[in-house]
Order: sequence, then C-alpha cells, then structure tokens
Amino acid sequence: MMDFISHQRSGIAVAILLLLLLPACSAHYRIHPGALNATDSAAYDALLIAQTTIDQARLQLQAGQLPAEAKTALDVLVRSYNVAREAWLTYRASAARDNANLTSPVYFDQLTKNLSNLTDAIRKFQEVMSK
Amino acid sequence: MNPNLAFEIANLAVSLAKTQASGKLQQDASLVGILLQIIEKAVQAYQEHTGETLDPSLIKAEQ
Repeated sequence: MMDFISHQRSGIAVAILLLLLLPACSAHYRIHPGALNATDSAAYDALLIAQTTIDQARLQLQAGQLPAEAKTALDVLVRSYNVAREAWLTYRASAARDNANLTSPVYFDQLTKNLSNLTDAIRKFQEVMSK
Repeated sequence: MNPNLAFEIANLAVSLAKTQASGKLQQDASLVGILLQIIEKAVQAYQEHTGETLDPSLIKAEQ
C-alpha cells in the first residue's frame, strides 16, 4: 500500500513537473548545440526518449516485472525505433551534404512519418501496460 | 515536424497520471509503478541532455 502511495506521488510529481515545463519548453525549445537544425535536434530528443524507454522496459521485462503482453508491444517499439533512427541518420547525412535548410523533402517527410510511428508505438506500449 | 514531438511523448506521463489518480489502475499498483519508473527514466534522460551538444553516438541501434 505504501509502495502504491509512493508510486502515485511520484507519478503525480512527474505530471506536475511536465505540466509546468511543457508550455515553457515548447515556447522556448533549446536546439542542441551541434544540431543541423531544429528538426535534427527534436528528432534526437525523441529518439533519446524512446531509447531510454526501450532500455528501461527491457530491464523490467527481464526481471519479470512486466506482463507477457508487454513483450510484443516492446518488439514493435524496438522496430519503430530502429526505423526512425535510420531515417534520422539518412536525414542528417542529406542535411550535412546539402544545405541544412534545403534538405530533400523526401527525407524530411520520411523522418516525420517514422517519428510519428515511433510515438504511436510508445503510446501503444504504455496502453498495453496500463490495461 | 516541430520540436513538440518530444514533448508529445513526455505528455503520455501526464495522461497516465490522470488515469491513475482517477483510480482506474489502483488494482495493479505495482505495474503502474513500473510504468512510471520507465517514464521517469525517459523524461530524466531528456532533461539531462537539454542544452547539451548533440551526440549521434548516443542514439544506438536496438537489438
């Protein structure tokens, strides 16, 4: 019971923190130094979050702390992550080769689509876990 | 795409916490706790790298 209260408090703390930070972050997004442009920087952040989610979930799964259904959702998430990562690397290579602001829209569109799929995969993974 | 994409992922934590607060998930508190740990780690990773130099080598392929 105490564990649950502790978890609930930490969850609410995260939620409050995010609620406080999100408006400020979206209005004043800080592009990473070394990023080719804002797209490159935001994709890096999204992949970093996804990678951490995967690594942490894998640890929990190996420890037997997640339900069996989580494995399938995690596999989908890993595939989506790897595809999005490849699209990001391709986009980066194109942007570095050409002018960062004149990158082919094909690469940009592919990256956007794959990152959107990655977001969906993370959402589905969390839905499976919270059922 | 805009920079809000990363925040959209983080926003999932907010919706989860709201669901949790409503009591829907109280029947499986330990699972909720594990999920929150995962989310917290992801948010922490994001926050730790905010403003840091972009390092592509950190984004590794997953097996």
